[in-house]
Amino acid sequence: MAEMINLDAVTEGLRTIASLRNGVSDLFKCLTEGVGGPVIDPYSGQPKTSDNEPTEEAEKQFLADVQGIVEGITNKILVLEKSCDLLSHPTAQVSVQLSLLAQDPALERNGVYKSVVSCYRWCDRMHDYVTQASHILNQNICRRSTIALDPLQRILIPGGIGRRSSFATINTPSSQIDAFFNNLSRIHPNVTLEISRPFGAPTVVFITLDRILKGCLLLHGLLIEWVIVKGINEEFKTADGTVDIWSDSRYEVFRKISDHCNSATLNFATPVHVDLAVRSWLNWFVNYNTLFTKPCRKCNHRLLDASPPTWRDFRTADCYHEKCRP
Amino acid sequence: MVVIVQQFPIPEGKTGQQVVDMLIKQFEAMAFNRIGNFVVDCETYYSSPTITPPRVLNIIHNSDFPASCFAQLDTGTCLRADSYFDAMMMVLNGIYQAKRGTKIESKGPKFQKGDFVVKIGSVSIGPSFRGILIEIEYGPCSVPLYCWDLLKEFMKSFMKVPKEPPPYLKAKMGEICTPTDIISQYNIHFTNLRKATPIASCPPPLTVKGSSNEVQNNGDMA
Ligand SMILES: [Zn+2]
Repeated sequence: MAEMINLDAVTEGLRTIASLRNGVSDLFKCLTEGVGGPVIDPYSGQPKTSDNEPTEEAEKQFLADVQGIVEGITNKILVLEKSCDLLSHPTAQVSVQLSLLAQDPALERNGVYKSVVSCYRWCDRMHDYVTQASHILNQNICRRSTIALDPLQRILIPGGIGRRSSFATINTPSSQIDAFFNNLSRIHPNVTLEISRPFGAPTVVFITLDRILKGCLLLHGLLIEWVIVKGINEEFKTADGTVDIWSDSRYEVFRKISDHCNSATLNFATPVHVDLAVRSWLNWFVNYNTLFTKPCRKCNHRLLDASPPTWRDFRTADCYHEKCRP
Repeated sequence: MVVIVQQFPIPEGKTGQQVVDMLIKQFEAMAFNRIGNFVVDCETYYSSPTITPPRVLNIIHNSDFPASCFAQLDTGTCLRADSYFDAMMMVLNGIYQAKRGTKIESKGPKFQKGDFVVKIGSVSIGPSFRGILIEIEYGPCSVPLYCWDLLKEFMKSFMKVPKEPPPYLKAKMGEICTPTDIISQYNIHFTNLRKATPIASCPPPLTVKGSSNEVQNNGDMA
């Protein structure tokens, strides 16, 4: 299939290149030695001791040598150009030949075909899985919103089934996140939300719930990654003004609530409607406004082991002590 | 934090020390952790005749706020200052003068359970014992209104619970509590206990008749 390459021309060209390089190094050698032979003894590495001035004859000889070598080089270049012309160079045909590489009959030798096929199958299967998973997850959301016994969740989805989310990726622009939280704070009048980005892209939201407690959310896009809860008289900022989202509250109650809040983020997380997860989480979180006032639903006491009921049910928002949880 | 300071009645036929020991034993049995001691002291200064109307100034220290010195006028105005304020009172010697032998203090052990801190204070002026003050602190909450029921439930486990918050706290139920509010409560109790006659074993004059029985009953319920 491939057009025959003029092998003779190639061989000739290669030979010419070799002798061309030879000629060039001859020229350099000649120029280094200068008039009247080498100035530096090649064996001892020491300068030659004879201080004789170069004779006129020697100078003539040197010029003739240089001229001869340069002529030889010029000739060799001409020969090389000639052998290059003899080679046909149809560039378009070369690319076609490359594209036929996969049709090499010796399959077991290069294995390209095999790996291409397995890659294609892998992609195909992944596509199948993604379609299935997306289908199942979508169904799940629909079910959550329509269960009759779930008043809390029904409030959470005002748009009902089939609502599309614009926060599907984690690369949500910060302006959109700001708008989203502004909207949320309008829904909950007893909640104050303060947005800041002390670490660059990740959003940090400070939540103040009445005069009961404070929370700090670390978000990746709109995905809640970390929650910490503290008392109203505690700070999230250190003395030098840097934001500290890791140190715990000094009170047992809020350390416990921090744990519950983090587990709640997992409960409310949905892969598709990220904004809905945050919305549901906050809907659940605001139930802590009764932290000190509401008695436990099971034991009907406010205190158990000197701690108020710190648990709020995810669905019913009923309050329980950790040990009284149903 | 929300703090309530209450006078603990001393039943007839018992000494103050006996009641304190009984309380310590009770707290230990209820799995409270003893976390050290505390002292709140108060010295009273009277203004010189040149100042009209005459004023009474109380200088109060609280071991929980070791870097602070609280100064409260009889008008209720309270100043929270650095502990250097003591030195300044010496300079003001001609204007405000301390009356000898008026230093009153409440000191005793501190206990903790969960986020609650309870302090049992024996109040005395010099060698004379005046009564017992119990301080209950709940750190997580800052507004008394929110945690009043919670505090009542907590107090019920070891003492008689007042039906209503003490008048000072009642006026500030909806506000955020500050260290000044602790000092003011101590000051009110100190003023009352100063007027009271020194006691060794008789009940303090503010106790309601029969309160000792009620304490007993509540203790049994818990
Ligand atoms: Zn319970």
